[in-house]
Amino acid sequence: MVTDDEGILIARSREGDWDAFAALIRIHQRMIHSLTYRMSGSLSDSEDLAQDTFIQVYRNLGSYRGSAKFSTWLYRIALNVCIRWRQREKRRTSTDRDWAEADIHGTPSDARSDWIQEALVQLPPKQRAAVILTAFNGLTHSEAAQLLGCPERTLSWRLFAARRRLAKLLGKSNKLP
Amino acid sequence: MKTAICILLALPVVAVAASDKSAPNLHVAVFDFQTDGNLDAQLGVPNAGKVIANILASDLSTLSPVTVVDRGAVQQQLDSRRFDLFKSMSPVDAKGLGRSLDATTLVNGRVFIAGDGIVIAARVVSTETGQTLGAMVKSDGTTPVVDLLSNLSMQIGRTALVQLGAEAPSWGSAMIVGSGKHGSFISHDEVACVMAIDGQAVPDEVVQWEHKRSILPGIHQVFVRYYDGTVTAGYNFILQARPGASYEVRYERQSQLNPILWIQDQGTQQPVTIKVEARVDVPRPTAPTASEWAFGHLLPPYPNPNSVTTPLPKRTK
Amino acid sequence: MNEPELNRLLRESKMPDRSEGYWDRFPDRVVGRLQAAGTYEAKSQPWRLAALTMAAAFGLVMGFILWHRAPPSAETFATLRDGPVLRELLRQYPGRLHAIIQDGNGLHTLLSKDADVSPSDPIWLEIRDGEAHRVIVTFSGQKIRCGGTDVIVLSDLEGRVILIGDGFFWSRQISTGSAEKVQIRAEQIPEVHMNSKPPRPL
Repeated sequence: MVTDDEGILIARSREGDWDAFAALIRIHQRMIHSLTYRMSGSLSDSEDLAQDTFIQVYRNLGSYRGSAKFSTWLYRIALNVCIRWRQREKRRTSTDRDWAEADIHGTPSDARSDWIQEALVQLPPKQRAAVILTAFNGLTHSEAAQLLGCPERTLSWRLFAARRRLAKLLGKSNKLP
Repeated sequence: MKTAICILLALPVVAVAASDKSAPNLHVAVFDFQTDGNLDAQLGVPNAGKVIANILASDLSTLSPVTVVDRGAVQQQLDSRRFDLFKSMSPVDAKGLGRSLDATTLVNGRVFIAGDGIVIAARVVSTETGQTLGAMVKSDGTTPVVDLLSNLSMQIGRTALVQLGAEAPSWGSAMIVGSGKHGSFISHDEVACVMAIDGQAVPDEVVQWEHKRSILPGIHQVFVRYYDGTVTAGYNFILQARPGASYEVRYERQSQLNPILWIQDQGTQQPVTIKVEARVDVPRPTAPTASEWAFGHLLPPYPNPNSVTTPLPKRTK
Repeated sequence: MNEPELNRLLRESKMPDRSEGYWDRFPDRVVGRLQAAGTYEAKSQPWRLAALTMAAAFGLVMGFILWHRAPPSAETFATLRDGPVLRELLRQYPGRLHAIIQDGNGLHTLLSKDADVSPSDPIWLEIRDGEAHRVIVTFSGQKIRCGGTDVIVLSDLEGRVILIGDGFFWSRQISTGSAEKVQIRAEQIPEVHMNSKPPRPL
């Protein structure tokens, strides 16, 4: 389901109109950056991942049928890009390295936000994706489950486990900045 | 870094274990490693590249089914001049050198100083196809070099097997534990325990003598302590640990004052070091640190268990 | 902490700031990458993709044989990492291809007289050494010139790439000596396939 304006931009992008594709990027870039940042925990990597996402979007525009929301389709591509990137990073780097990246902080946001992001990166990838999609991006459970390719019940369990862990990590009041 | 690296002083020429004639046809020839700049002077180890190659060859020999070409034969090989690290090696040259050494795999490399630690990079060439791959380990200065080389030897072993088209096994760590008798409420335990490995002290070695300690495959110095509440003695052994093996520190004390100490393979129940009469040393013996060395020769791994005891050699400062 | 509290806490967390200039430039950077990859032509007239690629590959191969120095183009940059050119050259010169290099003087191949190049996975390198910028495709065990010294390029079983030279060591995690003055990006190319994503230039 796309808006009329979005539909026009998608059609024109398919025909090779660069300005139309740039306009599509402008509409969704902050959302995708947010997702790639939350998934990677690294500002610099999130920029690369966001670029890679839109490159994949352009290359696969022909396969977008319009049955799902365009933003949902974008999320799916972004998540796949993030997960594939992480698998490549894991193969390349020491097995001792955790999912969490070192440079969470990047340009200063605030200490509280950094603290929350640090807790987030301690979640396993699928739990993290579930939390990001629902808590940060406002997707419903049904939308998030469809996007992640799992039954809604599985998503609910993942959210339950993620929230319990986050509550433990964030609920220690002496850590609250 | 110097403390961790100076352990190399302890291991001049490493005796390579006898090859297993029934093992698959994988023979690795290890050439002297190059060293960057004045690494020898910085490490305080003369000919560090040769020492590293010796240790690597010894470590590789513990990894079944890897067998190692005698280092002496490798060093005498005139053709080794063609095995220059900074020259690409053609399949024809690799095959020729392999034939003259009876080797399926050729290894050389270089050691670099990197910040507070070192990087050891190796080139692994298959003499059958000429395929060339690499392996590397790095330290931040706190990891003992012998552990770095244990890791590197496992990478090289896996690479060599994959180059031959074989599946690389996963070589697990060995374990070592002390032995002893529990005392009563009025008497102390009588124990022989591991006090230090590669110059790094083991915490609470007497109290935790039953605690199994992990040790990477390859060559290590293991300082052993005997203690019964009054008498204490110690000795520094060289252990060539095999992957997955279990070792135990053993002792014998009958009428003699000094306990006899050795390390035994729990699986075969055979000693893997000589049996030594360790002189009583009051107070608590000090394990050699990485910068001190108790004796200057490498003991063969499979000695005659009836060998004569040896007095504790003098420590050099 | 209950669920509503946790959700509120999560939503309060802000993203690190980026300048407005970043958001303005981002779409252009994406479009720039796509244009450099020549994807526009492929997308708009897909039926020409096969013909264009074959023509480019054939033209490049003929140029290599004659040591023709064509000015570097965006397509060349991309196709050095993609499948057709590399596969074609490997087919043309089995066991003889030491390296393909693209630099300010154009595109070159280094061929051996005999079939004495050992079989290994291809490795893609991008090197910025001062003002000089090169892209090289070579193979594990081969020698290249970098940072003013001869270095051997190696890849390990995990696909990690290292470069070793006299006073020169480079890996993705650590570099020493003269390697610290050079910007390098390196990847093993496990499969030579058609539509791999072109990397961003250093």
